[in-house]
Amino acid sequence: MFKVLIPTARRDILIGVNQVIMVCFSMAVISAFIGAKGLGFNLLLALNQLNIGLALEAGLCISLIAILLDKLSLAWANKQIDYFGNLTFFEQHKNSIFFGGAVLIGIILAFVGSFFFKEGFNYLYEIPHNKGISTADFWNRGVDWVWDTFFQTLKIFNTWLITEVLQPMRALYLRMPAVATLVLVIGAGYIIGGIRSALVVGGLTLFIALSPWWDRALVTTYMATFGVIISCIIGFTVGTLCFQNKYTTNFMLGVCDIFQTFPSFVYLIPVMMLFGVTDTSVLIAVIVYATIPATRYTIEGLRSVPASLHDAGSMSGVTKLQRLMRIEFPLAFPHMMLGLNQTIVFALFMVIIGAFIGTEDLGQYILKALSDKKGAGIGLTLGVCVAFIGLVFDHLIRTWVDQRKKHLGIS
Amino acid sequence: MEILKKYPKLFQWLFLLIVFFSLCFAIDVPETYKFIRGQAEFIKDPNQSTYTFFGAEVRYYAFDVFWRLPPLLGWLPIWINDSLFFLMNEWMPMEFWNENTQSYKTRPLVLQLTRNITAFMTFLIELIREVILGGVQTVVAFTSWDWIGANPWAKLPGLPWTIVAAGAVILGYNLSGKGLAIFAGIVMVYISIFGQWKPSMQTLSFILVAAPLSFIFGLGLGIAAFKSKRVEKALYPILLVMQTMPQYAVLVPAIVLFGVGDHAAVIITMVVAVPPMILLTLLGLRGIPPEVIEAGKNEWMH
Repeated sequence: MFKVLIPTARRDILIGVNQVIMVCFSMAVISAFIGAKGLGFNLLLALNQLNIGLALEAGLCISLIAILLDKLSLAWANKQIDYFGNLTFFEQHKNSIFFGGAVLIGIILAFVGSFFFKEGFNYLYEIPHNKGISTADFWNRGVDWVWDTFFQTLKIFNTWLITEVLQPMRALYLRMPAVATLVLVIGAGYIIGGIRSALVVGGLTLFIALSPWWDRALVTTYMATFGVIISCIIGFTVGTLCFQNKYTTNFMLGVCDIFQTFPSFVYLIPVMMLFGVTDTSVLIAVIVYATIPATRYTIEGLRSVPASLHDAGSMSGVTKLQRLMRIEFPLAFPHMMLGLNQTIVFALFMVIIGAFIGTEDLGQYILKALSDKKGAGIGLTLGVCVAFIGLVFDHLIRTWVDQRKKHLGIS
Repeated sequence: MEILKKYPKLFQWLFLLIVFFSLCFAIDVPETYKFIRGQAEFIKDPNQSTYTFFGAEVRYYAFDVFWRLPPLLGWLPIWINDSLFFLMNEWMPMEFWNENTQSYKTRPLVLQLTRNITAFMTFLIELIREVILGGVQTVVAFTSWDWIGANPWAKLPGLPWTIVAAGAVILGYNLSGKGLAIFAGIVMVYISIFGQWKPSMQTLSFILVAAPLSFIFGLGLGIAAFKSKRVEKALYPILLVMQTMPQYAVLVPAIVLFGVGDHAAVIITMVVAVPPMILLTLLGLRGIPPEVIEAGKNEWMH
């Protein structure tokens, strides 16, 4: 088992490790709600004082540590052990010796530092909070400047968006009768995956319909839908454009890493200052967060197109655009749809966090349950409702992707 | 007819949409409903019949069942609350030895279990935290507060940030090469120069507990699911729900079970981080070609 199977399955397990680390750091802020000390707590404190610069720095710390740990664990797993090298003692223990040296030097430095800095802060031992360099003022001034300069324009745009697009859309969603929605979902399940899919999807929807929060669930769905549409457009475009060049691809994947672990609360506050307590603020946060998987999976999907097909296309003399439209997109499409799947999950997650801004969906009720002594049951049921919304789409997309892959012969 | 045969799916979709929209138009908004607050919310007249269902009062929507289904699941949250309370405070009382009072004490099983897990987690977190930042909690865990009072020197000194940074650089260089070493150096120097050292290390301490634990649990459960179909069937739906569930929803039950603090954060993080690990382990093991498995079996025979 551990000698054969695990090493063979290493690639997927490594992705799993990556996911674990990313999730751990994305929980760093959320766990501050239940009393964990650390960066998340400081970040929330800074946000309470509306000190966005400070929160930004703390957020950046979280992303950087996350990426560092992720890279280290990947490198550790990928490392090849050289069994045959005939090494001297020094070569074998090179790293331990260096580390021992570093420990010695560090202790000496800290000791010297205790004579050097008399004010009570030994900078070579530990730089205390609020005594380091800070760029907080710069960022705060930046946010103020944006506020002063663009407020009027943004206000006009915001009013237009809310009255012309968002409110009619919400009214449409709320206007759907429960039975019609059920018929639509079950029918879609039947067309895509047959009777079994229809039953699964219908059951999930029925649970939400029978819970007392059907209206709220519809509002959640409306916000998630709007966010997903916009982020898919942005993500697919950016991903395709970046894929044309190797360096931009790597750069974009790095940006995705940073944004995925960057605590969303940090940009929630400036956005809220600019757009007020409206759905627009929530949707902008949703779009920022949900664009990440859309971009990432577009790039990964285009990458998964075999190079031989690529060359075959070039040989028969198609232009770059034709190759993209006729060969790469159809083949990468199933993979991209998995990206859409992730986009929906991310969007739902962010819509729920949007409750802090003040929405009227399921998230608001979860937030209320958080401060309620007897909120455990309500919180769990609402969580399951949100999960079921996601799972309906997840199931439909997954079934479709499986069939499509079989059809294309790349499963 | 030709087109119909060529694209059967297209016509199925069209038919579905027609049915959906005709239903939408056929079922009118009931008169008891009205929009309020800029079409943001529906409200319903309070003059309606109610009835009790499992001890809870549930509204009964007699005439507009097509419009909104009756909330038959209204009892579920209350039931979950009650069963959690029962589990924590009444189920299976047992006698446990209490170190502090030197006597046996009757406590429910689950409460005792969660308290033990809590103590274990707290110990691990404190250990890592004090290796990096310094303190006395770990020494106390092995001895006692009185002993610390008698021996004031017994205190873990924290590592200076220079050492941790150097360690990260060396590790990066050893594992991957120059690029990673430089990146590690930049990250560490950034953290300490910007004065975020202490909170960063606090965060790191509970993540260094949570990440390996969730890796181990995820790998173990993934292998178990790979080996036995029954485990897999039981796990799979739970995993799917857990993966799409927003993390906030798990916070409340975790507070009820484990209280508030760093240990609860570890547990929450594990609850969220384990499902993707299990799924990916399973995916990886499934992807192994059968020949490799056979070869492995032969290898074990010799």
